[in-house]
Amino acid sequence: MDAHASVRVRIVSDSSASRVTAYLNVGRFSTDLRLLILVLCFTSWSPQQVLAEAPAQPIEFPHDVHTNAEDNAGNAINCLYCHSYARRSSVAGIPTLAKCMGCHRYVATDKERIQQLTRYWEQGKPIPWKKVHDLPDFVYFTHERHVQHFVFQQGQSVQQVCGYCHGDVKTMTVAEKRRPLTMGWCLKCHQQFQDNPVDVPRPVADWHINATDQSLKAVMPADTAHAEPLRKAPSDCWECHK
Amino acid sequence: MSFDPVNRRTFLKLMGVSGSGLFLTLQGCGNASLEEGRETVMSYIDPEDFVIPGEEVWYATTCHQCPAACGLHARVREGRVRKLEGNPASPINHGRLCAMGQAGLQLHYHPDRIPQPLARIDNRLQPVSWDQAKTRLHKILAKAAENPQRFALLSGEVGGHLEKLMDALVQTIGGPSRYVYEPLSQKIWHSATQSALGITSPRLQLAQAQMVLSFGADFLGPWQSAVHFAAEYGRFRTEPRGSLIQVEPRMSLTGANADWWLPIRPQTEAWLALGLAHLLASENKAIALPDAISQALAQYDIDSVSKITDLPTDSIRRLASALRTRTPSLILAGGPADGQVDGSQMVLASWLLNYLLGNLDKTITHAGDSPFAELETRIGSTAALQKLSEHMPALDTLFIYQSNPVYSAPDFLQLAAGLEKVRNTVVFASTLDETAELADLVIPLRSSLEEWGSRVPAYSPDQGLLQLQQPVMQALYPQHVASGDLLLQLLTQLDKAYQQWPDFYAYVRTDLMKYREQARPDKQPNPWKLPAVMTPPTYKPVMLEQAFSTDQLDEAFWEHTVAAGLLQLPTQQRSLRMQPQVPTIKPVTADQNFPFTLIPFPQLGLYDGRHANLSWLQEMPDQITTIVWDSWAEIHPETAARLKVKTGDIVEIRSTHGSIKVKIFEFNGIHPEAVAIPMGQGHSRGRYAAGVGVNPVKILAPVFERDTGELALYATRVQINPTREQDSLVKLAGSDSQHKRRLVRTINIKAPDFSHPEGSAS
Ligand code: SF4
Repeated sequence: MDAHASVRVRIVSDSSASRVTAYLNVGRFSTDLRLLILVLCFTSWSPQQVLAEAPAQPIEFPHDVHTNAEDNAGNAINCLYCHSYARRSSVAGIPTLAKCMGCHRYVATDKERIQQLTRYWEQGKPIPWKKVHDLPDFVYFTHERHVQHFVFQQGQSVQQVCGYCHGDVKTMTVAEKRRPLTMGWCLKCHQQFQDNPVDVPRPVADWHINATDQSLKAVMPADTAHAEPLRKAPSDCWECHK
Repeated sequence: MSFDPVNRRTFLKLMGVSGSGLFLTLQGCGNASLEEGRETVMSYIDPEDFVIPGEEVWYATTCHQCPAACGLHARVREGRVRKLEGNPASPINHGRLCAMGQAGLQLHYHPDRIPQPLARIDNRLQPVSWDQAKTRLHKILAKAAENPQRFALLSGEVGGHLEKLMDALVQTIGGPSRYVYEPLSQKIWHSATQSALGITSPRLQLAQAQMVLSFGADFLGPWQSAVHFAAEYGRFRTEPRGSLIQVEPRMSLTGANADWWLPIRPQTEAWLALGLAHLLASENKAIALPDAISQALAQYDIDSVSKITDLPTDSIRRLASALRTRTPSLILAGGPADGQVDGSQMVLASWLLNYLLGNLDKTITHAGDSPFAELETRIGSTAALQKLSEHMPALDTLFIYQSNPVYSAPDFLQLAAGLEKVRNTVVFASTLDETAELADLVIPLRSSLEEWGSRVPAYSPDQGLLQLQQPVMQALYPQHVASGDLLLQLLTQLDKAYQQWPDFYAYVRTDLMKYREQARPDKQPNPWKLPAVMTPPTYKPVMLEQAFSTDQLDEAFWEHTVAAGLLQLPTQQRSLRMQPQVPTIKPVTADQNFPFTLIPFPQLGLYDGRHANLSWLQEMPDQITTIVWDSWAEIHPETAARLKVKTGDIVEIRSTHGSIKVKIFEFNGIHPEAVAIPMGQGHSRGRYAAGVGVNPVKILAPVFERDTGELALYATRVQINPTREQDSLVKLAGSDSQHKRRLVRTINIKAPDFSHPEGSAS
């Protein structure tokens, strides 16, 4: 990497409407700023986080248009509709082209982005999306466990559950990384559940989002007779470092 | 390699001055993960219902790493095969897999796989397109059909439907010449067993035996069906614990596990077997032998047998008495015992012993006739290769399918020179090996994890077994034509009748459909077992009982067979009959110029050399010496002292047909008149194989087994000439001496006592 390249770091407060964005020119920044970066890197500074640049995607996919409430010019699509593997696999998966085209054969076909999408479909080529949320290879994380626990067993809103780790996607176009996804950050929840009742995560005050979807409790009351008892979040090393 | 000396202080200083350096360091060790925005996540375009990213799917198929044909389960994720395990439903390996089987994955992803066909242009192999290669192949075939006598096809042991198509190709062309070559051939064993029992492959039930006496058969190593016999051995050793006695000139893996290991003089095993037969026959009058046999056995009296075999008379008597006490037993012969001039006689002698001890129908059974007779694997031999080398000057066209004789055959066959004279040599191979390198046209093959196939194993505990092979992922090189499809295309060129099958898949499926009725659950002696793992996982197995009343009968049967990875049909167990034969063995005359017998032994790893290019197996230590990535010559410390050499010294091993240079490894588990060198190294091609070690097979002398004409692999006499060179051997184990520290207490026993009805300890 070119040491003098201008690296853009964006500092965002997720819980407030105001976003602070700072542009730092790495080649020339002062000692104070260096110290700031040092502090940022070694602390979980909540609610504000250091974030990687949202990578440029081959198509500028608008999460907001898809997930916003209908009264807010959105389509209120459930996250699990597109990321349908999240509830049954370790990875959430990127929706298949066939799924996109299921709607976009007819919907918004005049838009440039949809025409781009259609070209991929016609050529039979997958879209080379850039990975936004990545964990090191020595971390085993499973979406399935988390989604099953919070959504299907506790009946929390899907948007809120995904939002714990992914932020409020209805405020984004292409996906951005809004949580550090570091070990200390994961443990904020995982330690809490060692002693206290299995409940919503305590840091939820920080991570709360204004979910627009309905809690599954309303539509799908938990079948307590058959549901597996809720497990406390594990904090043994091997649970994530297999 | 050298590094600029940057000490800690300088490093810190550098970091201090460079702000960007600091920033980068913190990025590296801190919170940001490594690949965000740099890695691409590909989505599926239109996936199969059962494909879930991150979720594994297991497919049943068959291992192709050795002729045993164990059942496999392949773990596939995101369309890529990632791990192989044994198929628990297979009666061969019961869910286990050997190291060679595991390494099948490495072969599949091997960087040496040929990405596109190669043709000899300007005397150099050059990449050509598939269209060009096919045109050339079809032309060569058309010419061959005009003059069938000048065409031949050589392959390894293939078996199943591919074998059927290869036979059909040779027949359609009209030539008589189909050669099957297997460097570690069981031809001698099969043919002698056929002559003794009337069947080639009786079922050997180790688990039922109280005692196993094995003449050189390394059944825990690569003899016949490694994983199967390892499982049988496990049961044999559970209570009541069976005893194992191994007689061989060099300690094999099985020998190392034996209760009693007898180092016999090389090339004399048959004498011991007949000496034991004489002792047992003269004491057991219940089993009457024809006079001619009794008379012939009389010459194998204990004193002369002891002298010839270099075993004390006391040991031979103990052996006979152990066999008498612990019945039923099982007598086996293989490896250095049957790779002799009198190899067939040795195998016959082992059957005679089994007969005298009443083991037939107890530990050796006839599992019935195979319902898949036309798909059975044809046993390969070196004799076939020798015939081919004689035929070569009269050949215009030679197809070589998955066989590397230029590496694995002895030099005296002069195969490379013979191949040069054949006008069109077409080699079907997956990597560019020593044989492919001499070809005029190289057709790259798919891996066995990428194509359909079937296999009726040469040794199977269940005669009604067919192992099915299916592609577990899409071909890494999608243009590569599957072997079966290519054969069908070639056949269609000669005979339009083959057009009825659009591809090899259709051919296999249509053919197997004829067994559907036999596979009905109500016709099974044991009800149909559902496979342990279904493929895909969400697939609900159609219960055959219900399916028989529906139109989907074929589909149900096929889905079931593919999901199970095998087809098991009922067979009728029969009783064995044996006609003892008059033994005729001749003593081996010693040649003072060549005082040692060469034992080129195969290991579970590199096998006959076909796996030398798999680094996993090179890295796997030899089970006895723990040496890796090398060749060595095992000699007895007494011999070493006599020759004034020691471990690590390089010696020249010379036969009448060549010489090799190799490092000495002093080893107590070998007879002083033998020198043993592992097979498998000494390649000139392959990124992991080339330049490592030597190939002992190259210097074998043309000594052949008397009855079958098969190469006697363990009958070459050699001399050992010290050189002044030295080198070190890389091995995992340190020293095998305790250096007087008494870490492990040991006691010497003269010979174990097998007189207890159970247990062999003494
Ligand atoms: S013995 Fe090993 S290599 Fe041979 S078929 Fe079985 S698993 Fe494969």
